Amino acid sequence: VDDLRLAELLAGLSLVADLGMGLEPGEAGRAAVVAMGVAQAAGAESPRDVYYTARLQHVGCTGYAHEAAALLGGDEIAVKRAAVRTDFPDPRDVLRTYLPALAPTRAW
Amino acid sequence: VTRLRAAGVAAIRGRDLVQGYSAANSEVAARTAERLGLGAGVAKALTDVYEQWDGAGPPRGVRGDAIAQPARIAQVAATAALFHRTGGADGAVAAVRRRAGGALDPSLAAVLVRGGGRILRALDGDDPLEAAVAAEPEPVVRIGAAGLDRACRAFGEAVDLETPLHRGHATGVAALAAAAGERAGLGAAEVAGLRRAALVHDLGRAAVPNGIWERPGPLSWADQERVRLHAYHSERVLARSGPLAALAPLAGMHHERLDGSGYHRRAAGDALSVPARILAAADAFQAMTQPRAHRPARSRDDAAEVLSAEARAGRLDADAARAVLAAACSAVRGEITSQQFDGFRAAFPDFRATILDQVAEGDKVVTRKVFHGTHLGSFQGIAPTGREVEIQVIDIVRRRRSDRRALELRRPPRPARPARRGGGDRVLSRAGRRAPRSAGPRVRRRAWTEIPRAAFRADRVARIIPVRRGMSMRRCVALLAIAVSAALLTAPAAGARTKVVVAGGPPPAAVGPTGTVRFARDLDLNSFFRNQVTINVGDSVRWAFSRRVVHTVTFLAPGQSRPTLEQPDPAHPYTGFTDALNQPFWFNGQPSLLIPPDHAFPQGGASTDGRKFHNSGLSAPAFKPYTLKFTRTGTFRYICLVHTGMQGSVKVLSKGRPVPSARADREARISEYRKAVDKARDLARFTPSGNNVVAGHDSGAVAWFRFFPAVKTISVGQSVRFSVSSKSEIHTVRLGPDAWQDPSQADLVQAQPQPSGPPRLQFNGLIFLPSDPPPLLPPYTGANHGNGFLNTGVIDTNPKSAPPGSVNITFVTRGTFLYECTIHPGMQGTIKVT
Repeated sequence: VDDLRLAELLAGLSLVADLGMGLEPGEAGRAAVVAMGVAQAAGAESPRDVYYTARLQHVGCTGYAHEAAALLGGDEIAVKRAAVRTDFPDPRDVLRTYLPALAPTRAW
Repeated sequence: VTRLRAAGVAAIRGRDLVQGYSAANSEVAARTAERLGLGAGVAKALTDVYEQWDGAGPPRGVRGDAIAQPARIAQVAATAALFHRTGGADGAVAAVRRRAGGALDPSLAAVLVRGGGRILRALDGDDPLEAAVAAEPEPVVRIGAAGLDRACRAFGEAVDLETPLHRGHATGVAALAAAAGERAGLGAAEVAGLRRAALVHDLGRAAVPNGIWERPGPLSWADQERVRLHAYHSERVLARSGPLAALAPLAGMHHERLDGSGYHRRAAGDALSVPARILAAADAFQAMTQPRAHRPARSRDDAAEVLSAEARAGRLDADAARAVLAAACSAVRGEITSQQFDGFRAAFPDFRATILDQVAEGDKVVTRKVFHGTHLGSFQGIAPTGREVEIQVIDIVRRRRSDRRALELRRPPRPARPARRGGGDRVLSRAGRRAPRSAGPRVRRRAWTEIPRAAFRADRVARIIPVRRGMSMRRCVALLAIAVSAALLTAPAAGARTKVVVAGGPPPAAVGPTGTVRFARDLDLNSFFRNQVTINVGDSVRWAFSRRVVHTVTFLAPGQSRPTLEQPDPAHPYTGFTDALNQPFWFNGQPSLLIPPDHAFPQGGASTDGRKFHNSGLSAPAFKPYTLKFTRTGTFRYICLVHTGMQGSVKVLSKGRPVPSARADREARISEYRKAVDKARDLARFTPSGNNVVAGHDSGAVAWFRFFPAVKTISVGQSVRFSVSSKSEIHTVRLGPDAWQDPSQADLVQAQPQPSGPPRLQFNGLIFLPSDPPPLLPPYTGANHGNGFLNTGVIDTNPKSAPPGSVNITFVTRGTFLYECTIHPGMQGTIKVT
């Protein structure tokens, strides 16, 4: 029992974050794979920290779900899905990608 | 214009939203990483992972290199991976390039842009999860069983954060399910698995939008479908979670019902294992005691009623529901967890405040508590002494109006008229001794003594306020601190000491904690804890008797062989036993079974040199501790006269030689308990073959008060062979229409007062002897002796004793017949004859 790998455990548990962010299953795993490639090419200081940061970055997806749903009155998962795709510094991308997800269902 | 306004509102809300959610996200993620033991580096990076390179981003506007490097790499990687899905390597590179210098670190973005095709080729495989596991850098992170538990808890709690309605759900279900599993006799490994499954059973809820959980009105068909899928998602997530994969089916069954009305599989009956039944009941109970969007939280009593009704309706398993309710009850039993006592916890790591007794009258509550702890840290300037401190407190406080419901719900069926008001304003919190009876208000005990102690929620008690001229909770605590200090400072001079040994299973409250060891209601241990206690000459040993079963502590004289507890007494034959038909039982005129005074009552005085007979006498009914001082070195063995095989020893060293500290003894005692209870759990999974029913499976030191199996179905005309597998216990099987209800014949021992000296004690013939002359019992018709009474008398495993090792009963009438062991109340079974 003592040599369980955390990475194997997280393989499944990070699916929770994918579900909560409205992402395709396995997205966190894919990000970790790419992150290791970037870390190697960039000579990162701590590959281990890079790896687990990439795997866990959306694990907090539930932290704000209550407030988000209250603000949006509905499907906060759809909004989060749009948010991760949005390039926020670019106003055009916010208009194009993010805003449509915010007000799709309700007459304001 | 309307459209424009909508966009404006959405933009404002959107900004708040991004701000709030990225802050909350990163905080939860960082905390999860800490709990997984990943260290400060990962936690810091996760805190930063929503920041933007140009500093324009939420949550805190950290910019540039101030964002932890792992976070910057993860951002680049996540962007590339996301857009790789739709646009391939080109799309990924374009998306990263577009964000370089804005959201993303330009130098890291350049690394990806340069290495694009090569780096992204790693995504070509079919299974991203396998690829991710393979990508972990060496040395890989490994966790043990404890780490696995922490991970389950961290994820369970993270998902429960989704809505305030769910907060604490996973941990609540886990505590209930594990405790219920222990009560149901699951093995230690199964309980550990059940606890983990309970912690993660609702992970799939993350897939359901919060708006659905928080919608007060009825759900649409589509939303109901999404809700039902959460159990499926839990199962699928766990199936991919390496060490948790084996628990996936169990966790996925938490909404299944015995009659097939649950989801997501509509599994029914035998498809639901015992752990699955317990999990379903625990989940249902916990959910009911929490609010949901369409209803407020139910009180524990209401929830208990609903749970019982679900069991009666055949949707939940009755045994599982019972175990969960018992666990829920004991979870609130008298443990005070108020943070007012944090100061004590620092100095007394095992500090416990236990409510011994609580009586309510009007809006006042009288509480007798005992505070207990081992002094291992500095307290009020007093250096650690290693002493165990126990302080009794009685206080009277007035409940707040808002807490009234808690008590009214528990009012017994026929409340007595409330006692006079007034005169009740004096207080009454005295540490270290009882409040004088006359000083307190008169309290009608009778009205409330039926209230189970467990019915009071400890956290409510911690919130109560004192009566006028009484004390605030803070002052009560301050007073307690003074009392504890005084107790520590008035320590007896080093010299003669007394060590405590517990005789039998769960220790009496005064002895103190058993660590994490929990005793099932029908479990006892026929052993002494610690089994060997070491003292110096002149020290004493005090045996505290578990209140569950009768024991003795008996030192035999050198050369004396083990006596049997009882002796046939021809001078006082049994007389006057008649059955429901008024016919005398066969054993009238037979010698009665006398418990000689030497065995029943204390013998040999208060100190011993190990050369003569010393006996505590029977521990029941007073369960008074027995103390013996040892005046000579040597190792002295002792036995329990009631339970063959139950023995212990006292090792007496000369003065000044080191002996284990009280703390070491306590830890060893707890460890011995743990071993015995673990063994017991394994033993509980025992199913005899054929038409055998075995009473009280055990291994000598461990005794289950159960019949295995508890329900036996046979065809009419068949026999059941009842036997005992215990080496230390004896049992009986008594059938009768009122076998489960009538305690009047349950007095195992009858006492006859004598003109002088102690009463004469004999075993009750109705319990100890077969109802019909041995060696064979008549067939059971359901109407034996006029009312269905049939008693096997004692069955034991001792080949030398008079009672048999097994008994056959032939059932010749269809029906359901209840029976019990008359020696161990509550030990019950059922024979179904079809």
